[in-house]
Amino acid sequence: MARYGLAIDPSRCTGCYACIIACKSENSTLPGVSWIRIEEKEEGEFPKVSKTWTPVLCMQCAEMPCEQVCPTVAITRGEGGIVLIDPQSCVCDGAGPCLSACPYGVLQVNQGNRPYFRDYLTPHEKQDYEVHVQGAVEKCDLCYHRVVAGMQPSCVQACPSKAMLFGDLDERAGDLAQLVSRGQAKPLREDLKSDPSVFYIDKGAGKGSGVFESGLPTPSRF
Amino acid sequence: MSANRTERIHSYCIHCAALCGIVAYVKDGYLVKVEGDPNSDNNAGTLCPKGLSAKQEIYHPGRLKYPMKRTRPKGDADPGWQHISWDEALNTMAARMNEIKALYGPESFFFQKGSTGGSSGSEWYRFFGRLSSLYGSPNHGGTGHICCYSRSCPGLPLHFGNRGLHPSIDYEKTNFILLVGYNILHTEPPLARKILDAQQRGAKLVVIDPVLAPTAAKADIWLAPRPGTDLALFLAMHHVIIHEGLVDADFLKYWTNAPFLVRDDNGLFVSSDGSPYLVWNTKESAPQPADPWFPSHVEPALNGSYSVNGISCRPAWQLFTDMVEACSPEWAEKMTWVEAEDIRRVARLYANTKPASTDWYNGLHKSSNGYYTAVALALLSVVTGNWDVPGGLSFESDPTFKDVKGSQHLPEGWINNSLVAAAGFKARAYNKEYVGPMNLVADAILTGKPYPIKGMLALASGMGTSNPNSKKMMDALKQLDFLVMGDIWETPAMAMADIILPCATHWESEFVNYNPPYLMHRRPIVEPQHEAWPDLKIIFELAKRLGFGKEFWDGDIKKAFNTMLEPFKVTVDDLDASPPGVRYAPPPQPYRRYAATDEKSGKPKGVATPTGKLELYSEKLKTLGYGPLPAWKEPEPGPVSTPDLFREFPLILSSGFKPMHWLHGQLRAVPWLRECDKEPSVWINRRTAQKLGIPEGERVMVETPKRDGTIQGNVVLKAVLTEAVHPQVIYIPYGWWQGCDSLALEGYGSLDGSANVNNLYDDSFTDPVSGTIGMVSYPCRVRKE
Repeated sequence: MARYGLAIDPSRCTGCYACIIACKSENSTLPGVSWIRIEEKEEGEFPKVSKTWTPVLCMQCAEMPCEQVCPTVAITRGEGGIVLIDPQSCVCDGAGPCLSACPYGVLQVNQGNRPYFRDYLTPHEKQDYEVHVQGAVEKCDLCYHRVVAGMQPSCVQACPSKAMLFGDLDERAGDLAQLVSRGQAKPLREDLKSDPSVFYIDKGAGKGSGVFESGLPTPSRF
Repeated sequence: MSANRTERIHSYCIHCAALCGIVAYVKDGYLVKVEGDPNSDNNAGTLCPKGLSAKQEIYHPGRLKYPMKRTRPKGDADPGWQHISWDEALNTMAARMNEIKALYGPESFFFQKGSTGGSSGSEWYRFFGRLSSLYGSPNHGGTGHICCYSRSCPGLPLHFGNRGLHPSIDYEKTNFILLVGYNILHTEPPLARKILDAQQRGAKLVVIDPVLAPTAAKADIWLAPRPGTDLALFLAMHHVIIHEGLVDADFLKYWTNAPFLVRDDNGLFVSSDGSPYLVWNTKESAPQPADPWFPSHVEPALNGSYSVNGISCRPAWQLFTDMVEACSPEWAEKMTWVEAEDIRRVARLYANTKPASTDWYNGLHKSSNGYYTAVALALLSVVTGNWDVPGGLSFESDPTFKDVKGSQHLPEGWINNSLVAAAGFKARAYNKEYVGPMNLVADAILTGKPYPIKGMLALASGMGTSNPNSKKMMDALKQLDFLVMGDIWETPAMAMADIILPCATHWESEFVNYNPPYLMHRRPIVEPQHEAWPDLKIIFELAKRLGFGKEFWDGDIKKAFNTMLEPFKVTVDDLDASPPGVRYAPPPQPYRRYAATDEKSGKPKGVATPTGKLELYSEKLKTLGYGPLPAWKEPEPGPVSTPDLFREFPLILSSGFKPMHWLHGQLRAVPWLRECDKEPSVWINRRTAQKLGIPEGERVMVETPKRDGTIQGNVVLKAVLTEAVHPQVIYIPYGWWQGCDSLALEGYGSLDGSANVNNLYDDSFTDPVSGTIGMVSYPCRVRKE
């Protein structure tokens, strides 16, 4: 068994949008739909002011708040515990209760297969739009198609500051499982007890841990 | 899915100078996606938003599609663009260029190249230079005056001999990173992980920037000086370093001109028969020739006052010390608004941490005192012994491709006939810099002085928005007899063009380059869309029609690449035979190059400066009419230097850092990118906005004066309220002109009412040495629209 997840280090995120564009390029999501967002936060008063960026995406919860309110069986867990939405079984036409049930606000509705350019479908849109169903709810699936083929999610690979680590939580000796078991990586909202697979490095805790030093070899399986 | 039909093409992205290796997946001739190449040493599989959005850029329906000529007079709202063939375009260009040369001389035709980016200008500029040289024009435009003048183009050759070299820091070895006006985490994406790794390893990151840009946000210490006053801050750091005895005196004595004796009466070096430079030997209390290098019985004095043959003189270091004596941290606090204690803390930390590196960029080159600011900053590395050591400030050149710029084709004495020399930039003329600031061209067009400029070929240059004083530039372009502009998009300045050319994106063009670990032939990953041509093909085909076919390899670009590749003893065919390319390891970066032994003389090589040493006192600048030391000078305009302008325009306008997703003025039409950053904005401090009654998101007008106090121009922007800037400073991101049809966002134009920050600047506040223009400390006022 495997349980795929991420550790995200906001202290390394520079808010550059590479993850967002990598996701767009890989998954051809529609205009206005993004499976990952970056929350920017500014605190303090000039010149004692700080700015932080936090990428937020589907947390791949084991206790899925979205699934619990889904009137059909559209939401399931696939290989490695990745939460999947079957667009064919998603029938609420953009008004499903899952949208508000998700505490992270990462579910998005496909408002229709509108091309980015007026009256013109680019070659890649023509090819990729087939998998997007109008009215269906969509979200990050950790690039399921890549992950099951042994690759990393596209955002993880693209991130110029290596702020994201992909791994298998069940691989006890792996970097990801180690970060979590040592308490250095925690859920974004521990209070929700939703048992997510996506974790965030505590500010400071990641520093010096060495895990994110991009000079380190990537786990060989990826 | 028929994955077997998908071809993987190894290439590299040249949207910026970082050159990230990429893998393009192409299916049935169409680009499926671009990813970072995991085997690339630069980016290790990562890629920035610009590269990742390749397919939206390539297949964008708003690109220029075919060559067009104007059919209505300039000034008409509608140029009446008419589709013409490439043949007609190129034949017309060749005929008009020959005509202008015959009537007014070759110097009256200007060759303008914009930045790197969409069309890979940082590669093909070599052949563009070759074209202008063969044509005979010493007038060639670039972007150094708004970008990297005293960093790398040309750098600071008079002081450090680093002509055309760029700072290169070993981030695995450095323990201190001092970055100035340089949002490196976004502008050099492949360095982001390396710098964050260094910080994680314990290296300190100190960022000096008036704005809390992303790099500043990651700093261990962020200092936000009043825009344009960094020089005061660096002089105060020197003050602390000298006062606290943190100077590397041995380094100064042997490898710099610090001990050279300077005459009190005229500021020139003391010389005596046969010895152009003297030092004071404290061992013998007597003068001693400084040249060539000191034997062991010489202990040169750094301080003191001496008399040589009746001439009173002091070592250059004494003059430098005397100058910074007045620049205490308390003094600098008044100039910079940075607390004296913070300056002290950074100075101590910098001088006590070894090795310490520093680097700087655009922020220092949009200022009327930028030249000396960069000198003072680089000198911090020199006085602390961090110069050209591993983990310190080192410089490197690009891998040595054979020079094809062809400057030998220019007529004798060409530099004296250049606009740069005629405008009185003596240091630039001395350095034979042919790349002049664009505002000199606008002046020459409008005034006919020093001689008229009648025609221009501009490739990849958004001249209507990229240079300060856009109104003047547009007026000037309108006056030209013949203007040809090539680009990927229709830019505002094209309203003044006679012919416009559709250029290929770099994804659709080819070149040869070194993208570690490979020497690569970058092939088009897809064919150019519509009738677009790569800039390189335009240059070669035009050259043939101008009669330079022989010098342009008879139009065979592959042969030209083979010439470039000669030093590597490979050919394009060799590179093509083993994709992604031929592995190449450049010789390891040498350090302490100044100390390397010259084989002929058996003496240390020194550096390529007038004295052969690192120069903290530039006699050459002095003889050219400039100050020999980086003395404090207020930025112009500024609240101190031009207080009258600030009475009515009380806020300080700054513009600078570039986020990763934009390449200067490019790519705003790409919808994926635009969804992340929709609208042009102005950052206003919350407290200031409250006083002005401006709520978040309000549309506001920013207005500025000319030098004489009359209105220069205005822009209209969305207010972003923030604490990332000082209450008296507003910050406007640059490069906004383009619409994004997909998101129903219209273009903004380039003049009044636009979003173009360059419409706000009078371009007459120039740095006398470099010609860079005072843009970081500009008076302005803000009101609700």
